[in-house]
Amino acid sequence: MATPRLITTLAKRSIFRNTRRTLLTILLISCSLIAILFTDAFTRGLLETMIKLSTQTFMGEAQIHQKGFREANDVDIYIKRPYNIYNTLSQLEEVTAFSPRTISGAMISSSENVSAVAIYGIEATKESQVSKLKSTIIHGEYLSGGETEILIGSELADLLEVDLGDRLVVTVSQAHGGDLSQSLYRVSGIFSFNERAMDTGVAFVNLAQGQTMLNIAGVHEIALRLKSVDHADDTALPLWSQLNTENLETLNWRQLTPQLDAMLSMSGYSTMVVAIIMYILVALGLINTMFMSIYERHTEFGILLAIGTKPKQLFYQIVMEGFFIGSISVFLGVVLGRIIGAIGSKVGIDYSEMEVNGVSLNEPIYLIVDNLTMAHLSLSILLITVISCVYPAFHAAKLTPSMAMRKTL
Amino acid sequence: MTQVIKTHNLCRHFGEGDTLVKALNDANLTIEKGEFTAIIGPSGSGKSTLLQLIGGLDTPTSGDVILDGKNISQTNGSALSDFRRDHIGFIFQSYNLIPVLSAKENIEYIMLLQGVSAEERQKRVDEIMHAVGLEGLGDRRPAQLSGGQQQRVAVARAMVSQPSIILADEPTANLDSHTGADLLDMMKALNETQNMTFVFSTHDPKIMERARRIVTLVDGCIVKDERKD
Amino acid sequence: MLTLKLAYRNVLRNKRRSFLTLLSMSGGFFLLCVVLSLTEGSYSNIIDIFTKDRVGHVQIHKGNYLERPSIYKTIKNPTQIIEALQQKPQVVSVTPRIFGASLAYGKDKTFPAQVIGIDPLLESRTTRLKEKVNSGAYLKNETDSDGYFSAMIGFTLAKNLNLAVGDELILISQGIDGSIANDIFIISAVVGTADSVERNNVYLSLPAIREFLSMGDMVHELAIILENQNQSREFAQEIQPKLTPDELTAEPWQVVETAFYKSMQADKQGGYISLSVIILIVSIGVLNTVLMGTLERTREFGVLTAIGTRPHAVFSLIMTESMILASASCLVGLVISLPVNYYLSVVGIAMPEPVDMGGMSFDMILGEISWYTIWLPTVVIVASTLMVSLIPSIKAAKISPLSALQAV
Repeated sequence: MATPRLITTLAKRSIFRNTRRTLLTILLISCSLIAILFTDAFTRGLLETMIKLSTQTFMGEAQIHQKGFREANDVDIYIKRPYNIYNTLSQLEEVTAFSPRTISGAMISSSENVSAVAIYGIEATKESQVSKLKSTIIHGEYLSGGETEILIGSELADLLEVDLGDRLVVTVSQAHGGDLSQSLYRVSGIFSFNERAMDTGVAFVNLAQGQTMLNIAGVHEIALRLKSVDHADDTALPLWSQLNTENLETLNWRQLTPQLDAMLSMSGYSTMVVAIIMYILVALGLINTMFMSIYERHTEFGILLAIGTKPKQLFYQIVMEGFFIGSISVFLGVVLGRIIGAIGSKVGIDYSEMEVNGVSLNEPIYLIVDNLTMAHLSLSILLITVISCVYPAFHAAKLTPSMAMRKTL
Repeated sequence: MTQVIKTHNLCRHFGEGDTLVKALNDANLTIEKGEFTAIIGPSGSGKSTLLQLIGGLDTPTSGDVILDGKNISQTNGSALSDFRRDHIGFIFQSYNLIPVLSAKENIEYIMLLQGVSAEERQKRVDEIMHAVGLEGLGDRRPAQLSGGQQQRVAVARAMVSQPSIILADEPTANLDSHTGADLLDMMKALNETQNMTFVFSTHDPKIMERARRIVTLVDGCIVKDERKD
Repeated sequence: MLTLKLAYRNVLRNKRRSFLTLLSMSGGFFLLCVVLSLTEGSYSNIIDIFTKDRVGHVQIHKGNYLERPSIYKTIKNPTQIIEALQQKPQVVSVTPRIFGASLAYGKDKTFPAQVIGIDPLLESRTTRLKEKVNSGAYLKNETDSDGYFSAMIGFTLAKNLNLAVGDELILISQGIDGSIANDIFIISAVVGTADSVERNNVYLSLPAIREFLSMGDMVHELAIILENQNQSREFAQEIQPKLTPDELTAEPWQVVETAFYKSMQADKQGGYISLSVIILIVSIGVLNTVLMGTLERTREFGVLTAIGTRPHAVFSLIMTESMILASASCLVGLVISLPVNYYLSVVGIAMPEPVDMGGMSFDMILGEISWYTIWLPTVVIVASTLMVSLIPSIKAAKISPLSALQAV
């Protein structure tokens, strides 16, 4: 059989005989590849933004609660001796910061209105190391330990028709007995997370006040900031076993928001679905194109066969042609894909109208290009291109030499 | 003289029943080495069919074709393909050449299939290009050559693998008479100097003038076989 | 007619090519149809659920109550308005509501609770609240033999307060006149589940809450259910002029649940963009095919033109061939997508965990068979095929007989 070099030469030169058709085919394949790459980059960006927004805004990468608190939300289920835990946490190197919080439902009333909110008692400095609260203050000051300080959301402030300095009465039901306690505060700061739930339904006071109001000496929640978000998934880390005991429950962000977690795992499928769709479209387009190209060359192939070329050689030539078209397309697709990825990673996509699983997408989504995936997807498209040529190549190999002497069109 | 081709009661039928076409009926023909023979006849007479069968491009319905001592009507597939490669040269009316290869590469092609060494290939290509008068045009693609030049390349290719016989199907049909005449003179010269056997299927009187034997077909049967020696 | 016949036979001439092209166009149709069906179906389903659950299709409030709720923003003469609304043909039912935030006392715990005053009869006609009672009896307007009003309590609140049907519920709030509101109610029913919207609510009858909060003949909200949810915007606009003199606002559900609506729109738009990309790619493939098919028939068109066919007839011929393919692929696409859509609309895909979008919980992805999911893909496929066939058709029409006959 003829040398591979001959077949390669024939293949390479043949694809440019009909430039327009080849270019359109290349366009088809590279567009498909770009579509898949974009979907992947977008999905990665979306997930990262969602996780970041979720964990860094307020939740933290993990939280510690007294066992039973999350289900019942009962003020009485609190961590009684938090100081031991603080010690342990300071010694764990994966934990970069932690913030203890008291939590309870409360009625908050101004002279104009009343609303039900969740009241958090927080340690100002520690909280600022874990959540973004401090940076969301738009009026007034962050907490600094004062007895009557309270931070409320901008929308809550509108609802209660209060401004800085106005009085608010907070009524809670205490632990150990359920007596009502009322406390007076003055609005010392107004924050805006740009997120409905936080801005309408949450208020913050200093930890001491939180504890006094609720008649407890402990805390309900300790939010943790980990060195890297990946630590949250590393179940081998000693911190999980140390902090999950008879009474304590320490969960990572996935376990705390299973809805978000489920959504994230579903997204893996969407890229795959898009990829499969693209593969099918590419295959169909390519098979048609190849057949047309072979049809044009019936006589030529007939002659080749007549003068002694083996049918197998024609088969390989067609497959090679597919390989070259595929390679050029993949190259083009990757180059363009990278450019789009680079632009997309600087200029984000605004999805701020969407709110999913409590996460308001108020930060733009930046495209994230993963090299391994890009390589993987590109090779898959190349493979699909080559496989699609098999059927037409087979057909070419079955041509008869007498085609050489066909006279009419 | 050695017999290059011998056909024995060769028949080729197409279709069946109402649509039965007897393209070739009981053709008995012998071609010897060094002949310059034309097969003529009206359209539909079976010329092309006969040539296709002789060249192993098609299988007979019945009868045998013995080429260079081998019964090719019993051979098929790879073996037949190799046999054609090594023993027969083809020249067609048009589309003879591979458009994406240069003239030189086209000529080399069969030798590449045969596995001839690079040195040997180079030598033979240079010789043959000189013989057909194509020096200097080796790097041009078919699209850059005139009709006459293209056919010369086809002749060169057919000859360079040193086949036993060259079958030409209307090689001058697309050429003007001057070019056609030149081509035929060249082929005649090759026939005389190298003793290469040529069999043509043709309408062209120029070929009939130069042929030393004319076989006439009508309705699939050989009706006349005239030698002009 | 001749064109049609020729076109039809031409399409059949090269069966394999026509088949492959048909396949990719049908594929495009199928994708469009199914994706549209899933999106529309799921959202329609959710909208149906939350509008029939509690929101209704249109709500009426005083002024900007929706953005800034306040006990003082009340609708006076609700009964008149309700009667007027019930006359309108699109209206299925109207129900009034009063809202009050309060503290609920259980056996030994206190929890904040949203107290909602309802008209039991009208409410049961407008929303599904009555069906959500899982133990006990639905609310009544009258007091019981001891003079206590009854209350319905949400599932989670009942659990937190450790209360059950028959127990006493104490509510403390602030009346509209500023006085402390403090009353005992007997729990007649527990409604909803741990995940449903009612879980932290207390429901009282209108007489009960009026007494509790010292309110007269006024309400905070009127919820209206129409024949069809897509009439909401129009209806709200229609009744607004009559309400403006009293400073009342009519809002369709799209405004009431604006976070959800915006999320839905953003999501749908994203979906449309993806679908456009798919159609683009399918179109490139079709362009290639049609273009090539036209070019290889250059000689044939040359002959046609030579024997006297007008250029625009050649143009029509090729366009017709493409249309035949497009129509056939829409039919094929329809045939394969209908059963899939049917399955999706009846059974759907259950999500492993509910996804919360703008405050609404999705736990099912449902399909939908509707005219929209059929005609939109058809229009898109046909339109894109037509656009893509324009250039090849024009080229073919311009072929001069001479050059065509010379070409090979």
